[in-house]
Amino acid sequence: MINHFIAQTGRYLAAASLLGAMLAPRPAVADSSLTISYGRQTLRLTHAVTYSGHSAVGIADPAFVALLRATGALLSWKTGQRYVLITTSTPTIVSFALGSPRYDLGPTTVQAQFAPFERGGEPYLPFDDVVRALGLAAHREGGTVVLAAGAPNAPEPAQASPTPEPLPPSPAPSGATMVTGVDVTSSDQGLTVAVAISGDATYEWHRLRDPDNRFWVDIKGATLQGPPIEQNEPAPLVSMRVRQDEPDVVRIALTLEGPKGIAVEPSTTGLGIVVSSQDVAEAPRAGNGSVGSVVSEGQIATAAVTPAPVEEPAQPGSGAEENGWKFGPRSGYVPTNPRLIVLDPGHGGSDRGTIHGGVAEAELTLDMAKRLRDILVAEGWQVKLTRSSDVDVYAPNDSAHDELQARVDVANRAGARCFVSIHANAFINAGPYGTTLYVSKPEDYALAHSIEGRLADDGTKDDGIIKAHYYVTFHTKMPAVLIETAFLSNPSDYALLTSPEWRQKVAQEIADGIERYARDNPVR
Amino acid sequence: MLLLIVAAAGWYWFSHQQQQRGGTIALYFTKQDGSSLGKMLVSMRPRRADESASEYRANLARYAAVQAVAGPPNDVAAIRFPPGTHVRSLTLDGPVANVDLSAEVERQAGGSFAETGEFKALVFTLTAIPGIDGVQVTVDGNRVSTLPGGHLELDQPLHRADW
Repeated sequence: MINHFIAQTGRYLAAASLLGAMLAPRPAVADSSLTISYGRQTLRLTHAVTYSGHSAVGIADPAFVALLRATGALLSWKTGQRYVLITTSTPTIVSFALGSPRYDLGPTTVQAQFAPFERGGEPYLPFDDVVRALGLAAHREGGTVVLAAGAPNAPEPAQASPTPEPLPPSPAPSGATMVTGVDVTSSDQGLTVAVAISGDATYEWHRLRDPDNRFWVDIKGATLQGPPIEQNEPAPLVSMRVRQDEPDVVRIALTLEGPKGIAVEPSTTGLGIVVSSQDVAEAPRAGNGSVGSVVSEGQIATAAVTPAPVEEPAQPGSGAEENGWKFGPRSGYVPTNPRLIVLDPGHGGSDRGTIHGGVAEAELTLDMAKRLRDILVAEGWQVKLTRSSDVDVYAPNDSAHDELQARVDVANRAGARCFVSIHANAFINAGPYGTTLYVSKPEDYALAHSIEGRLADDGTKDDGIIKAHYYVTFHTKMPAVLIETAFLSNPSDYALLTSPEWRQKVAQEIADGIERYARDNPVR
Repeated sequence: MLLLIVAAAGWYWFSHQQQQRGGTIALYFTKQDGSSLGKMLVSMRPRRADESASEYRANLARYAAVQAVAGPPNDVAAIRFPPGTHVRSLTLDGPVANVDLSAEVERQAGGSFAETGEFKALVFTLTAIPGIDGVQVTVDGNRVSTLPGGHLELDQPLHRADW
């Protein structure tokens, strides 16, 4: 009761102080002009004002927009939103809040020169803070602010990180890894034990089987900064101990109330141990990993975010396909024409698909579809192409929806046994290569597996079967697969795709896969 | 006595404000094998005193979307949205996050590879926030059935189950 009264009184006081702050005279805003120079550009800010003796810039200022673009930054804000978010080229997210003198630079909260404000419906940001956040150095030459890239963009934090993980209270000696603090906080999931680690380290954790519910994690190659810790903790923990277990091993030991779920993950500043309030029947009893720049799979830690690569367990093709289907299986399809295969050469007409080295995807897909058709027909199948020449299936320059629905209609109206859409893949760089099959419905998998088994030796990498909500595979009533045969953007795959022999080989392998599918899945 | 209570109340309130900490959001990115996901934990600021729970949740989701579209640090190999793509706005409609992307998203490289990886990362990031299970994408304020030359059906919310 007293606590409630005190808390209520505190809130009223805070509200009163907030009201007072609102009523207090504000520093005057005065129009100003500011000329900036960046690279070869000289820009004059027209939405510049002076506020509290500092420069503020409106986010709609054309010169400011040009500056952001030149640095590779993007700004996100719409009327009514309180937060102005800037994505730097790193990318790091800079978050300014209207009315708040602090802003977030990645995981760090920083004191701004003044609180951003709205003027004429336009947010105004502290110019110097934006410049620093963009990683620019500034100096004045006469009346011009000269900006240059390459400056350290992270201002000194104005306060401890707002993250659940405590920042190290002091920097560790160069080269040494220190456990600089252990903090326990409540979270939605239960409790989070945040272990602040400066430097690189590996860790190994273990837990005992219920009813001996003890857990410990060893931070290897690390030194505990400060005295050992031994204290009781709230549920679902009982107690926590932190000590230097060996000369180069720091051990954090937890006693749990019961067989609680535990997740151990590297965090921005070290290691996070999330202890769930829920009991788990069977849980892993050991694990390991690394923090800092010693991260598995070649991932690299940065100041903004700390990679904690996690393989998602239920990837398509892993045998868990039946889990999580959006609308459930549609196993009741019976083809009205069980000897008919519909082939869909991707793109065509006004849509060329991806184009590399003067070769258009639309031409390749049609060529492969025709080769496949000839093989299937020779084997006694009826085949219908959604297009048999270089045309749009619905109409030139039609919408994507109309075009894709027209292709789906061809198969659905014909009551085909199965639907195979043929494509070539591409990416913005030449790295990725390989063959991928995309499916949407549970019944697509059998068809895809049959074809994948044949395509695995087509000369490029087998990237397997991926589930995705693709229009043509989702809306066709029959088993369907979309095959991305190879990457036009990869030199090796490009050589394959532009080889008639290879396209014939792929057509034969797809035909073999369809044949095998039909044999293994007879129409009842 | 009254002064004492007022002082104690002020101390109590402010000390509790300082203890308030933000959580972390999971930033997913699709690796360059085209399908498997990597995950990073990104620290979030705590809820501000004058920010309602629903406002905080919406701001959190918007921040997560911006982060997902920006992707992981540049030295992490990941499938990324086309350069210049940014989040124009995000609103929450029950369990669905409506994300309006800028028109640059339509500048796809072609093929399924990038398109699938980009949206998978966005959907997994946003649906990692409690209470969000779907993502409705619009482009420049408009509903689109698919991206030009694309494959993903975008005129209805995307869910994790779509992958």
